[in-house]
Amino acid sequence: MTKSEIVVIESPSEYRIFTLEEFCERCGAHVDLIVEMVEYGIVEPIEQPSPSDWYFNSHALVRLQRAQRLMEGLELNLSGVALTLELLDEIDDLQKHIAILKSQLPSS
Amino acid sequence: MEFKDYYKILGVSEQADASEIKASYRKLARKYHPDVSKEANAEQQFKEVGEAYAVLKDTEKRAEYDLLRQQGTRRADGGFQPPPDWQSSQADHRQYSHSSSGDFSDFFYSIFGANGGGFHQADGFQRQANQRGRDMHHKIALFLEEAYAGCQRQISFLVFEPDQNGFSRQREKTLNVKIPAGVTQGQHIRLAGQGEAGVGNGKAGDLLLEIEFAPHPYFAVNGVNILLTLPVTCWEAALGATIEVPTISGKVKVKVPKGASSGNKLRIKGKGLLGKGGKTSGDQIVTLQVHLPKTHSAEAEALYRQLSECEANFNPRHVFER
Repeated sequence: MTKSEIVVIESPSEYRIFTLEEFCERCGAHVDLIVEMVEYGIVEPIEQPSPSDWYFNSHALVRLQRAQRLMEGLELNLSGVALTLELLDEIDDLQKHIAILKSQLPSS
Repeated sequence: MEFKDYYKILGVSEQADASEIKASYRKLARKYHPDVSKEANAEQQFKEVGEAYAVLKDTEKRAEYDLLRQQGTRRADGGFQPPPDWQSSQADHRQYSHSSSGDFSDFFYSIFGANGGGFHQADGFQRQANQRGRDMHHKIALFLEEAYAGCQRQISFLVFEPDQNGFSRQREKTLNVKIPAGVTQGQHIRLAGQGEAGVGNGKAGDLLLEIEFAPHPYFAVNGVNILLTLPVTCWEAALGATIEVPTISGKVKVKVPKGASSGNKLRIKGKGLLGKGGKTSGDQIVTLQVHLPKTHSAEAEALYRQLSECEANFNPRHVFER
């Protein structure tokens, strides 16, 4: 391990959107795989005309890369990964909800 | 160099057969997959398990590893040294396909060779000469106040980068990141070019930061709304009162209406978090909670007795009596 560096980022480029082509390059995935992932509801383009006009946001990028890691690491197929992500989201929502409810309980 | 006991990592015996090794690997991969696991250190564990499996599932590699395990010397400091004339029959002529979950350890490369830098083949696709670096993902926990007002935070993470000789090396990278005001839970901030280095003329990947909120001592967050439980006395609830409450942007006075009860909600408009794009703003939702002192003075008890006589008709348990 070498020494660290300090970089100050003044303006995080958060609202950047990606074309389908950029998406493929970033994820090292073939266009057909992305199209299938959209069909399975794993990721959603911002608007849904035909694939050539698709745009994706950073959220979709993170989700797709997460799906890829899951598929690879756990040998899941597309419907397996779609279900896994759905259930993980649901657990996440429930846990947030529990935390909110807990915070509202009378402190004894 | 630290010796890695691949059998121990997979929790199998030295005599374990291929199906046992596979079963154990699958179980542990599910347990430690960083996208699923809640275990501390899941990512590191997942890598170790993957590395152990890569060796033990391969008959030739396993045989070599077994031999080394017997012959290698363990130094007094617990470190490991291969025998002096050690040369792997597999070194340097194999291309390892690294999973996107990361690279193998120095220990692994010292046995099986580093294939001149160990660059990744992402997801089964052969990397081209000029390949974009991988995007990296990180979570960052902010206090509610920091998210609301914006802040500057230092983050450190490990990246793999080629050294002068083209070998892939792990390095700690530290960034000072300015988080803009008004970020919300689950939002991603993309730091262009701060991910893994590209190969050849390929561009560097991005760093994607996911915002998480650290638990707050009294505020809770639901979407763009901030929730607060407000303790009030029973006489404040009965008579109504104007009470100062904290909000994310300073204290404000709220009016508790006459005849309020535990569970009643008050809405303070515009005192929540900013919505997407900073256009709309959430509210602060205040939930009343009536509190009573643990002990009462004799005088107060007398007043309560008097109260119970004037309010004799009030029955909060009428639902039980149908």
